[in-house]
Amino acid sequence: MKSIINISFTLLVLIINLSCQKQIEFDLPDVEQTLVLEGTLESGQPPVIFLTNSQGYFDPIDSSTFENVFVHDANVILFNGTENIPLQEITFNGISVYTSLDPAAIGEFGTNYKLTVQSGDKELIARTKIPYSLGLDSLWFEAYPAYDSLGFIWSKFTDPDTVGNCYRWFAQRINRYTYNYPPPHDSVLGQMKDSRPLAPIGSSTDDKLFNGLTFDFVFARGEDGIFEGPDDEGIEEGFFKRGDTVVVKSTTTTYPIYLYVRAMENAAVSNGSIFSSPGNLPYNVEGDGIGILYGYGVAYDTLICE
Amino acid sequence: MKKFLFVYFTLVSSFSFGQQHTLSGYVKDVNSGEALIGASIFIEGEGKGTSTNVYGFYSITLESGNHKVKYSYVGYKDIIRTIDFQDHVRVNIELKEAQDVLDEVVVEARQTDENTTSTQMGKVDLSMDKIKTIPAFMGEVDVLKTIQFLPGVSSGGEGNTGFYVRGGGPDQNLILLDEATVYNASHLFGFFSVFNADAIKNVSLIKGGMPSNYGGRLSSVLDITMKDGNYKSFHADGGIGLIASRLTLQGPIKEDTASFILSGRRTYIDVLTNPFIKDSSAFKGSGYFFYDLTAKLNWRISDKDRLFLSGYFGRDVFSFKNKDLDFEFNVPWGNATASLRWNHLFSDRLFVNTTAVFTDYNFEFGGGSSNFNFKLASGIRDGNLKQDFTFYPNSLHNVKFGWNYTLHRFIPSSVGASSGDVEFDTGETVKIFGNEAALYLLDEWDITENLKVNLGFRMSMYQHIGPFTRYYKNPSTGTTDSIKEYGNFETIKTYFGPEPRFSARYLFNDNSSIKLGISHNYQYIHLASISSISLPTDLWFPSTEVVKPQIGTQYSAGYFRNFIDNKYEASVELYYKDLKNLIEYKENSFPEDNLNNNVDNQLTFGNGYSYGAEFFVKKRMGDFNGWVGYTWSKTMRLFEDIDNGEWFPAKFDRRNDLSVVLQYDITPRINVGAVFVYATGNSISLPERRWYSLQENRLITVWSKRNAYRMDPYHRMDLSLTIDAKEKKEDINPETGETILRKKKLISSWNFSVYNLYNRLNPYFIFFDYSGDPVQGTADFGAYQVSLFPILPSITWNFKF
Repeated sequence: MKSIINISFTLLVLIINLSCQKQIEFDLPDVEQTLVLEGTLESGQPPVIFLTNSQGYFDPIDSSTFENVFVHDANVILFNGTENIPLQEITFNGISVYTSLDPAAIGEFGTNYKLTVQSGDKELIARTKIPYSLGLDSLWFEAYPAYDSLGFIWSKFTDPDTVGNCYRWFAQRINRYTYNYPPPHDSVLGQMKDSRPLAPIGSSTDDKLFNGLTFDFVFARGEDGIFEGPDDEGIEEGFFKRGDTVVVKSTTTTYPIYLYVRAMENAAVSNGSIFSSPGNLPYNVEGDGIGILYGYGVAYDTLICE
Repeated sequence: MKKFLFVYFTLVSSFSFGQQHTLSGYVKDVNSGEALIGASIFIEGEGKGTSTNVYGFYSITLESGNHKVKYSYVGYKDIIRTIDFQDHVRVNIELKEAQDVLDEVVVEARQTDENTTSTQMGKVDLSMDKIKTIPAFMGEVDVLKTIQFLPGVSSGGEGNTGFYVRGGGPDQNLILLDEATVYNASHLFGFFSVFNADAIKNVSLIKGGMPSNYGGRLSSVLDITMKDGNYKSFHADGGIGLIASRLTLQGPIKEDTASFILSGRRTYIDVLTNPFIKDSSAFKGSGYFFYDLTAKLNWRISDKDRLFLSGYFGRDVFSFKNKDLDFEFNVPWGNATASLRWNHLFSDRLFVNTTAVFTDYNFEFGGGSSNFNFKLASGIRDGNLKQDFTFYPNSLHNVKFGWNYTLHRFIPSSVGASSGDVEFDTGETVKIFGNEAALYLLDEWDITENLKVNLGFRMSMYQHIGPFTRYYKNPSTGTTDSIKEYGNFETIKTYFGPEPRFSARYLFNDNSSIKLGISHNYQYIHLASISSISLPTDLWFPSTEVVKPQIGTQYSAGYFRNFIDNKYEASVELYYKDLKNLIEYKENSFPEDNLNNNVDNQLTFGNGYSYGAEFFVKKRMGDFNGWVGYTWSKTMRLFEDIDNGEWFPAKFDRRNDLSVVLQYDITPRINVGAVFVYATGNSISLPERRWYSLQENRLITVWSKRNAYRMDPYHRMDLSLTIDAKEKKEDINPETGETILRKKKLISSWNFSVYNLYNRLNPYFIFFDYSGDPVQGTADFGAYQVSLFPILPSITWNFKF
């Protein structure tokens, strides 16, 4: 009996260590580029619209790839319910963005927007809304028992008693690194920790679980997409740190955007996992392409983690 | 209905000519008293015969006079009796296993021509003795994996017990354990089946031409019969294997009158690994195990009445703890079934079985931290009553009729969540109640000596009844526009399903026949899965006013031929199957969408079809035996909300599927087995394009049309070696001083198996990733195949006493 158990255990260890992965190749046909719209309309801010082309999934990325994805000279019109505002293309550091400083283009609470894009023979139409913002009741930092100086940000929030509200949470550490990290992050000393508000995975929700309730919730620290910061791996990953100054950007958004963000974040973490089914994201762009036009009603709070 | 049956039986009985009497009785094993299922009763020289039912009962009506009756069964010695029919005769027969017959010519397994003579198409009976010598994954003998070696049956994936029959989904297989429906037949996410081989007497798979006494599923019936328990003496069987051990106890409660069998199995991965996890580890307390218990009691009340009480209880328990993160969760799931059956003989020609069944399947996922807790649960509970009559009016007809009623209670999802003292509004637990009922009649009729038909009709009905809350949702806001409440037992929707069944056999000669079959089936429950593989989180969901019943029609035709005195059997079967009202989750559905909502609001509906050709050659007898099965098939699906309503290949669409199963008895105590399987790779969707999201700083994938590509083919070879210890030992008779052979009290065997002998890296799933840094403009994208099981040796020690 004992020998059987010993053999069993040895074989189990072998099995666990022997299952493996290997790179394989698929012979994919050449696929046509797709026009992609990605834009944000945010309360108090001018519109930010990117127009790019998709690439073949297995095409390599080189130094010229990034610049070549942008679509130039498109005719982009924002309609705010009363007037059409043409957006101008601005190119900076190889990034092309369509925007306007016309006051009529600045995001207004409670306004429905329609964006029309004409590029060559392709036309896209996207619609979104900037809902009224709702601030958080309070914010606080709670250090994790196992890690003295690391912790998460807790919030108290009161959801209005009207079902159908959707939210997305961002946070930006605006303090600076006080020391360097191992290469390639050996020159971050003095840099602002986050260059922009970052959303953690699971950043968006609707209120079907907590309609009309006041409750506490917690968020881990988000990462900047595929960019890996110095503290995005190892023990500090996902944690805020005692001493961080954090600007929390709490936004209200629409149901289609909540569905999109949820699916996009799920795709980012599942990455072909057998526990999910691959599928295209629920875009809110119609016409000869794909994409998403976000609409956010924004409220800001600042917290010093103590 | 009563009038119709009366007229029908009068007509059928009127085919009798001259004075007729009935021979009936039970056929059982002489050593254990176990009923023998499918034993052949053949009237020599007259070309007439019948076989025993699942309770070992037979009945045949013949003209008065002397008849020579031969009783035979696979692996048993034939018995021939001459019986004088001057009145109805009851003859119970006890057959001896061939290996127990000493000093006589050992008769090989019966030379049956059932393959060619039966009207049943696509039915396979598997002997547990044979299954036990086929190479087993991790040494665990598994009936569900064995049936995947048959043509027309596709595996659900590497190491998976899920199976697909002739293009049908895994939910379209009716899995019965002593007549109780088993909803989730697997342990450990599908790697092992819930059926403990030691407690199983018979496994029967019907993959086409389902007779009308079965219903509720479109594709197949897997009918598993548990052993009755030894009526003569106490015995124990067991085994110690790589990942689990098992023990079976059986014996008489009252000799030849009542018996019991109790069988249990438990894995010990957790027991083996726990001592190696330090107390200080954050993961201490994490682990996984499964167990199952099977029990059965039998009581022969009288010559006319028998009672059977059988039950199954099994659980998988997966626990995860991370003390550092103050987080833990537990995931228990499992089945429980109980069935009480009463056999009664109204007369020598009318056998009835009355069954009451309770079935329960539930899944839970609970966890959280000190501040946040959540719990997710789903389940099914069925109460089922049915009566199955078998009427043997004369030697030309075998008539079955009966009724069946099931009260279903489904809980698609029940969720609870709290943060501190605040309980979140997870909505009312939605329970869905349904009445499912059916009436059926079938007649297996020998029209001529060559032509035999099986005519059947089943009328099924399903009612979705209250209490129930229907949510009408606004698709653009996700909010509830309105709610409709239904009261207790209020009828919400009723469906009727006329299900004609027909099969026919034309016998060209003793060795060859053609068969045709048409079956039209309704299925009132559905399985919806969010993941790419079958998981215990998959939801069983009944028909509602939104979800219509699945409807399947199968047409099949086959040529069957036996060779060399029935030592070899071969067949070619063609089929076409049409499927309607299939369900899938809409793209980007998530489990939480079921809260304050109806699951069917997340579903999309579609149709499918499958056609194929199956080739099968089997050597039934001799030291060297086995089979080769090959299937060519095509299986397609169409859903309105997927790929703009275009047809796409089903995930388990396999153009080519080959299985070779061979066994060789080197000596009476040493057996080697080999299995080779080859299958076209699973169809998959691939990422064809990507775009860079500047807002999220992520690469977003654009997927191909559904299942537009293929994984690499799947193939592997398994080997096994089974060595039985000597069953007898030499002893000296103290009185005579002679050497005698005594049967050992403890008989044991060793089984050595090697899974995936040549270490083929078969695809389990594929993920996509890149190397380099896209932010820096240096990245190469690739597809990576994960293979689950390399070469896996295993060893099992089995014993009985």
